Amino acid sequence: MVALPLSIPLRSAARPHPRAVPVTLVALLLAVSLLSLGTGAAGLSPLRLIAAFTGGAPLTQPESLILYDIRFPRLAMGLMVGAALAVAGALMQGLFRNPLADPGIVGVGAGAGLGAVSAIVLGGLLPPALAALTGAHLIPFAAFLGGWIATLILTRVAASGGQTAIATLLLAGIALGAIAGAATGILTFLADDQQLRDLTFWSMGSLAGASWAKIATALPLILPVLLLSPLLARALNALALGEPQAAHLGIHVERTKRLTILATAAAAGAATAIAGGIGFVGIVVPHLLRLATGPDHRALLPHAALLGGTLLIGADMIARTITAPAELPIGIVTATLGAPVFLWILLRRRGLAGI
Amino acid sequence: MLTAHNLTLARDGRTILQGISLTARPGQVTAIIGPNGSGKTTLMAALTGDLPPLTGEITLNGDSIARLSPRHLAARRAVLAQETQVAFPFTVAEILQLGIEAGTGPADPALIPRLLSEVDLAGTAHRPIHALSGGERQRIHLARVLAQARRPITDQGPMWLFLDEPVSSLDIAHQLMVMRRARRFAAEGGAVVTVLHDLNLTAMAADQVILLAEGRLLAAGPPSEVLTDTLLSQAYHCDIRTNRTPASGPFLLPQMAGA
Repeated sequence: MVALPLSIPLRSAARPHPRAVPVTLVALLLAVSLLSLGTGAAGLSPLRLIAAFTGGAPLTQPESLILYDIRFPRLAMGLMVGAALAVAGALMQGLFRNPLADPGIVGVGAGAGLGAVSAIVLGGLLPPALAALTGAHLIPFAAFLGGWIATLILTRVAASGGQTAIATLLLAGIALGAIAGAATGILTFLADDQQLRDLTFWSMGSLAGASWAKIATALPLILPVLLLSPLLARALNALALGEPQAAHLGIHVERTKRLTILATAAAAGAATAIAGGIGFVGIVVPHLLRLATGPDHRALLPHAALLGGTLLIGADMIARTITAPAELPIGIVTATLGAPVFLWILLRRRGLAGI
Repeated sequence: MLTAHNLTLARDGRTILQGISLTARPGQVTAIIGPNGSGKTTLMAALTGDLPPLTGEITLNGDSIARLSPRHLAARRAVLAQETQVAFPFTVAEILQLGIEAGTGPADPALIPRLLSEVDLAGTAHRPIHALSGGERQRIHLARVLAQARRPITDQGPMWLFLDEPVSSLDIAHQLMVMRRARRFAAEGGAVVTVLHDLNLTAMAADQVILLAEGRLLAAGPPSEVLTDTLLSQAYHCDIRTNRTPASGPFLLPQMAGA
């Protein structure tokens, strides 16, 4: 028998009370949200906001413009993208039975990126009627398609006989990333000047371009995943025992896999489409939560949405204050925080051949 | 009743078993034996619904298993796989909970502690399963399977326990414990189908023995008829001499076997 020492100390009696975690997460989310709303170039501090919200001095017109047109959309987009990335990570880890699976690392983000770039460069070739119908939703939808195709390829290549070897998964991710990168390069080469401008803006990612319109294009893909993914929780718990074992426990394994792939691609694809490539949120958040409350997906998925949102707006705050008045791409911040965690998990699992 | 009629089973395009017909009954322990590579696990995979047969049909309590949904199948049979590796650090109680949710009927709060003491692992409910040894993990998964099959007789007839080499990493005391538990499940009206390697344990615990060899069913019947010198020597390509006690039927000593 092969022991499976995961990156978790083998104790669990210390798990917190079941309700303590969601309460803490919501409190943390509200606190970080308020801090985020009160941070920025214009002097509009958290204290000033609290005063205004609690019926003290009302906001002046420029202040409320900053708040409602700049900071609120940015906050909402950060919450949405962070939640989507963390939930996509947790779903994918459940699917591959592997805590290192993450859409950004295994090439799904690159696939989604290729979808988005295709939409920008080739979108003009669509019949006008179809283009009018899709409108601003074209880019998120194309990113979702790209991510979906990448995930389907990945499951074919990396998961054989219900087992996924880390090495195969990561190598398949590198290959997929390279293929998507090459295709993206070709499309960039073909792009005209206007499209290049659009591409540059898109690829800078970050939450800087947040707007209610952008949020509206991604929300129809992300919100259903956030709300419905807990329905997959029991099946993903059973899947942790292996595919035949899950079937023995009454789970429709193929349907579970199909739905999980679809949900991962929708959340990760839409998040990539509006915020660019932001890595490691999907690794770090589920990992911390498994340490705190254990691996039960019924708790993990909703908690991941809360903590993912909080983490991303926290990272965004760092990104826009640390080099102010310039702004650091948020992907650099999440990578700085997340890559060491990834490496740590990998080191703890080293020596487990094939697992 | 479990019936299989004229099964052909293949994996990766290679035919493993042919012309398999068998019957297993509730109230009995049916043991599947045979040399390495004779197709025991493949037959088990077909009987549990994991591997659809190329030809033939399998019925469980009168219904073709190919037409039962995973959910309905789980209400009629529980399966202990040869080896189960849990991907995340679930606690023992969480693992057993998966079995409880898959089965039918009420589960009282005392079920988990009761099953854990039945497999001699009382007090481990809140430990992560990875903290346990291989043999202990095998018994935890047996407890999970027993949680799923907590009622030996369900609304849809007898419950079926499929155990693929349930004692492979267990010491002698726990081997006996597991086989006694299987016998008790059958005595309570359930049905047990198990793959075993140990012929003495088979002789002791089984009501019916199915002997596979070279891709075929060589013999099926009570231990006294199947565990004979001729059949075993033919199946295992090895000169095997059995003995018998008046009280408990055949046994064999490896010291008595020829080359």
